Amino acid sequence: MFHSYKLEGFFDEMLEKGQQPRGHCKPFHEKLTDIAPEELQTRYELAQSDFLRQGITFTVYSDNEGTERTMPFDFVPKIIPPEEWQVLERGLIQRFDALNAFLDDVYHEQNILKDGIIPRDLVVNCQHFYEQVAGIDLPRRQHIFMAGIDLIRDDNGEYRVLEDNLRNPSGLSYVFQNRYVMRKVYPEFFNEYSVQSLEQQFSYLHSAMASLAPHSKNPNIVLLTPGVHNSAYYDHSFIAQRTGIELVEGKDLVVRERQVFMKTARGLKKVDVIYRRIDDEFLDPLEFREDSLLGVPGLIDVYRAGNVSILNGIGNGVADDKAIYHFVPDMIRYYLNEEPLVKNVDTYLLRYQDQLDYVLDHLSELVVKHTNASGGYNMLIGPHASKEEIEAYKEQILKNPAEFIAQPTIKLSRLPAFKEDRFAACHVDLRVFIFGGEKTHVFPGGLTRVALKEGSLVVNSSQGGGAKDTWVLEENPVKVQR
Amino acid sequence: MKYEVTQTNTYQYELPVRQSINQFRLKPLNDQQQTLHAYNVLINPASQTYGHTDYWGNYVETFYLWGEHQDLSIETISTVETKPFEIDVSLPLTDEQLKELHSEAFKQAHTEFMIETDYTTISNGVMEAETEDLWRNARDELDFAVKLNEHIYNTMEYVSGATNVETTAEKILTHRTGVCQDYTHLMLALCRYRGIPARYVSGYIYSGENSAYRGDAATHAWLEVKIPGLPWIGLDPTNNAIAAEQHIRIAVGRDYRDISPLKGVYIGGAHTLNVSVGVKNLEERVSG
Repeated sequence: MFHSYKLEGFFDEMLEKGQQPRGHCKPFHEKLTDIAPEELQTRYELAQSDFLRQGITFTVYSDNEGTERTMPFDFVPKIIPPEEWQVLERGLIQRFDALNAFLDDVYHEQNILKDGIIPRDLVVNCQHFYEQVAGIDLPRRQHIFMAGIDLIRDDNGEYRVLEDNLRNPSGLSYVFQNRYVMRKVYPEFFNEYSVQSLEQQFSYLHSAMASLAPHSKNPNIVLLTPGVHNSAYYDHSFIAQRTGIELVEGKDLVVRERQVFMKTARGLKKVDVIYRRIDDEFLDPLEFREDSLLGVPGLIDVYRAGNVSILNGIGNGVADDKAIYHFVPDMIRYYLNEEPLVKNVDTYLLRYQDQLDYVLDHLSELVVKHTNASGGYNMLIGPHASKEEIEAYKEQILKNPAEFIAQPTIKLSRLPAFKEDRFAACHVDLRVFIFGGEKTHVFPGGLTRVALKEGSLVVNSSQGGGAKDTWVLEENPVKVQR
Repeated sequence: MKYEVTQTNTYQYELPVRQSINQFRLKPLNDQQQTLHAYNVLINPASQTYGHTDYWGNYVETFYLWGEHQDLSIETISTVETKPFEIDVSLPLTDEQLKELHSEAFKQAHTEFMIETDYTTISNGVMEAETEDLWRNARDELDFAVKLNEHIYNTMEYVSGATNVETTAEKILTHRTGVCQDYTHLMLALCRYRGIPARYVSGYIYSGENSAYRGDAATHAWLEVKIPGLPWIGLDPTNNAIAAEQHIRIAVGRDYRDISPLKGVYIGGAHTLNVSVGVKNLEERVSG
């Protein structure tokens, strides 16, 4: 199965030079090579059909038409040894806390702008800066309830943050489903390992939401979804169900005299916390987009009055903006007086003439992204682009250079992925979920995304990516039977 | 000059409506340029208002009407005292003023008022052509702004009904017609294009009995430009005037969207809105 597997100078998370499994992967690798290829194929099909049966799908948008798909699952997990995880965990808590402090600052005193650490225009003119919520004090000053931070590993295996998702990161449900299917279809893989369990996480999630309520007594918490047609609806219904909160749409809520209520068969019931999965601009037609039918008129006024908590906070997009990203290490130094534990990927801001000149001269080596696009759309991957594509993108850049950033192409780490009769080395990244509340908490594991198309660097599910289970190993040593 | 301003806004609904939530910005500013002595709001059907100050320093009030109603009126009565304008705009800017005006720090400090918004977007080529001569012949940015004020006054035709609250600056420049809001958006775009921070102002204008000022029937709009070392200077392109004692300011922002005087969401059918404004000069003796 591994006869055609090549490392090709990339960091492979499972195999070292000479195709030997890394220490913490040995027991898994042995099991893997013990199972007959036909058996693997049978189980693979079983796993895929399980996802389909449970209705775990997401929607891919192209040409304005949505198609529902399941995310392909690959059963070779990403295994993270405890000492590696501890460093990551500390680094992510640090990053989360600094980002949160930044949000509270830019919506209040703006000290970081006054001190010239970040150019003011990048923040206040950002399309995700909502001046309507400036000055609003949030419970625990917590703007981020759930962050989904995307990590990659470079060719030395060092973790780096690729993206901070602080608005409506999706994918948490896949983490649970991947584990569920993995345990069901491949139980023996777990034999030699003690993997940190995910079972406690939902009760944790619930108490984190409750801790962010405007008051402490038994808050009524709801999850506000745009509805069944949203690409992440599965995520919404799954989280609502597992945390035991009501799943509602905008039309189920109403605002009356600075309070928000849920319509029930027995009349109106006051709502204290809204975990919303609707984008900011659609939340309230009175203060944001007038044409929004998804939101709740008056909601922002209730928020302003401090009578409801909205999670994640409104206006968080100013902190996960692709240009602001460049300054996150500075935020960590500024607010926490610490050195960043997890590095950024080097980023060029094309608003600066010298960086623009450099990037235009090196387009074929760089990844260029539009600061307002997400999901891997509208980006240039220099090394994989044709001359024509580069020229066309260059024109786009020159129209408004300030809207672009560039990064070196990182040689993303790889893991084996099952391809019927063999394993292929495919690039992966990792989305880790971090929660704010009484205490910042990192979810043990995360969503490992894999670019199943060999050689591809795009792991986004909308563009041919798949998922893997992610194991964070307990601190007690791995038992290796020999 | 001291004024009493009364603004009455009356909504009439085709059929009874309910669950209405409204927000308004009608309280005049109280700052260095004017003093607000008194401000009262009357809402019918009676309703409590909840106020907050927005990011731009404007006072915003929100109120709720849950039950059915077919009429709604919001009446504000304000007593405002304005100060005379005491800056000589014919004086050239000093070297220090110019140096600061062109500095990165100044641009950063006023960056919100230097960007294009939906209302003020015009293609660069068009803005270049429109301001080329004025810019070349202007002594400095302040002189340019004053001359642009006159230029817009001279080249635009004041026509009500030709545009609406959604009309953008590009359209205005093509048709060269509009009302005070349109004059203002156009001039904001052209000032910002030339690197002068400029903000939208909504308010009232006192026209008295003998004045030729336009904008007396309802609320008025103009703009303010920022020059280092000087307070915001009000320019009124609709009247080719420098805003002074006769201009009463309510709210400032990047464009109309930030100062939107009245908005609401309700359940029910169509409505009509009637706005009437009366500005009474409290210092002028009534003759006869």
